[in-house]
Amino acid sequence: MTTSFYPVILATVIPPMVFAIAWILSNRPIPSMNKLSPYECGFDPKNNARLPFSLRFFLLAVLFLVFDIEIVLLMPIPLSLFLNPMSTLLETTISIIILMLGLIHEWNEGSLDWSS
Amino acid sequence: MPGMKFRQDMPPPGGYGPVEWAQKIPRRGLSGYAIFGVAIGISSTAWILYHFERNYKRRYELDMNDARIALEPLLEAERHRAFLKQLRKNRDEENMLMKDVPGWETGTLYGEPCYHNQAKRFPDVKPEEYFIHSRWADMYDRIWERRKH
Amino acid sequence: MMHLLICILINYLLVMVAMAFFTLLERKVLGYIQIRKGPNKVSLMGLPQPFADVIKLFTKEVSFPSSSNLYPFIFSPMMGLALALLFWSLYPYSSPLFFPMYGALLFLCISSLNVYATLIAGWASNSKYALLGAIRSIAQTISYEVSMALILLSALIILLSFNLILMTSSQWSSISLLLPPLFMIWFITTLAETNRTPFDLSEGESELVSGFNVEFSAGSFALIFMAEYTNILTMSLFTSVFFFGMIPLGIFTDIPLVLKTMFFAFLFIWVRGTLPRMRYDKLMNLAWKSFLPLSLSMMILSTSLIIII
Repeated sequence: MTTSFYPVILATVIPPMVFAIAWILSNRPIPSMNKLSPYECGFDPKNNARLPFSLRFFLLAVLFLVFDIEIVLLMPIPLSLFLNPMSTLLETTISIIILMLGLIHEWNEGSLDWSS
Repeated sequence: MPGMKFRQDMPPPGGYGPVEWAQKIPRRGLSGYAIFGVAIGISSTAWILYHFERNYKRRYELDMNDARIALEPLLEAERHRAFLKQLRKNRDEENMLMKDVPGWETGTLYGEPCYHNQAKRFPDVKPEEYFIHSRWADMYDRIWERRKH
Repeated sequence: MMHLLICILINYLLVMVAMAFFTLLERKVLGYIQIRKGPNKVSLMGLPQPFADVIKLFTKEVSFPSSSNLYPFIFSPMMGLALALLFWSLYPYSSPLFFPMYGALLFLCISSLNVYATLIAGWASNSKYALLGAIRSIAQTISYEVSMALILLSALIILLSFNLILMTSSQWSSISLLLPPLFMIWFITTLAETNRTPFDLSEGESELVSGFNVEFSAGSFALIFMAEYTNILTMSLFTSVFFFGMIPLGIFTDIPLVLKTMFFAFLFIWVRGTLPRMRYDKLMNLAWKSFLPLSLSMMILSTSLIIII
């Protein structure tokens, strides 16, 4: 419909084609129980692998979300610098100081320390 | 393969050179402060050059802006002309399509005007209606093209 | 419209060929760094080695572990390669296919989508090693993405545009000379973003065997591998676009860009051959406690310098 989607269309078409070629060419031996079980250095995998849940990684993801949203708010700075430089500088400084205070608070609280 | 002759990997004739095992201490270059100074010198020169480039770019941008302002009335007139031409095409098409229907008046739905009313004299036409007489695929292409501007 | 499709297809295919030879370059350079010869047996000086690798990988058995979720398991490598290829529709050479106004934004979008491919791959294979590797690599990519976006933003403040074509066609001064520390942080961040050697915690061989791609074999593994190496080339391309201005050489303007890209791709290998792996807590501290404050202050610095100058 429109030319700007062509790269997306092609990029979604090529990898399945590559995979299809690999699938057609692939060797197909008789499947065995040991080959089909998930890899676990010499053990038989007994329980579900999705059980462990790390709160630390979860907190990290939440931190990332907070910072990323504030980065989205900073995105239009390069475009607004030509129009009104002084107010852009003011806004940038204020928002970055807020970000910095948030970072210092997190640091102080210890949520950035990986090994405690 | 039958055509190929097997060739064993062997050391080069005369053997390999002696193994270098002695510690090599690299030559000392500039001191840390000197490197720091050089870096600061290079980047301040770069900032001065950047100043000139930016002024050039700003003048260029100003020039382009003036050109756009000068062109704008012409483009606006062309846009209006294209709009009116499309409306006329729509009217002619409707005349031709509906010539067999008795009592059909173009621009109205059985005598009731739908493009021209008292309260808001000429309401904006929806893009789907504006391109109604073109092919389906072309219609969506044209709507897309219009939305880009 | 057909010619446009063919142009994009050629673009993507050549990227894949470049990626193939980049793997050969890596093996060769690593070989010479470790005082041995790399692959030199396949026909002419080992040049078609990547094609031999591809044929080997494609003719192996594609195994789907019985406990894995089949559709995400098949889907995730394809998604990785699709995203890696999509970067190259932005390739800003002097006769580009598209003129995107906000190419830098699209670059950021696609690079943050790359996390999902790893996430799906690690989760779908339903193996402990894969899950741990995926979680580690996601945490690392996410943490470095914050500072990457900020560094990119301070570079764009100096460039005053999001337009990649404009950067490669009219930006004479280079940011690596204007703000050298910014460029250094950026390069380290790209190393972490592509999960390369001082930061390749996602595939720490001693603890995690191979990270999130333990369960993948043959074709799926080839796709993951291709995505990874294409990402390295992409990152070096964007490093040279954002941080090194163009050199006006008439019709040869593209050649310095390509040479710079090759240099950075080589640098990735050099770093792999030289530096040992980092500890995980140090990695996280580097991201959150030094790069983030530094890139935040760099942003204020570049904004104010732009206004002063």
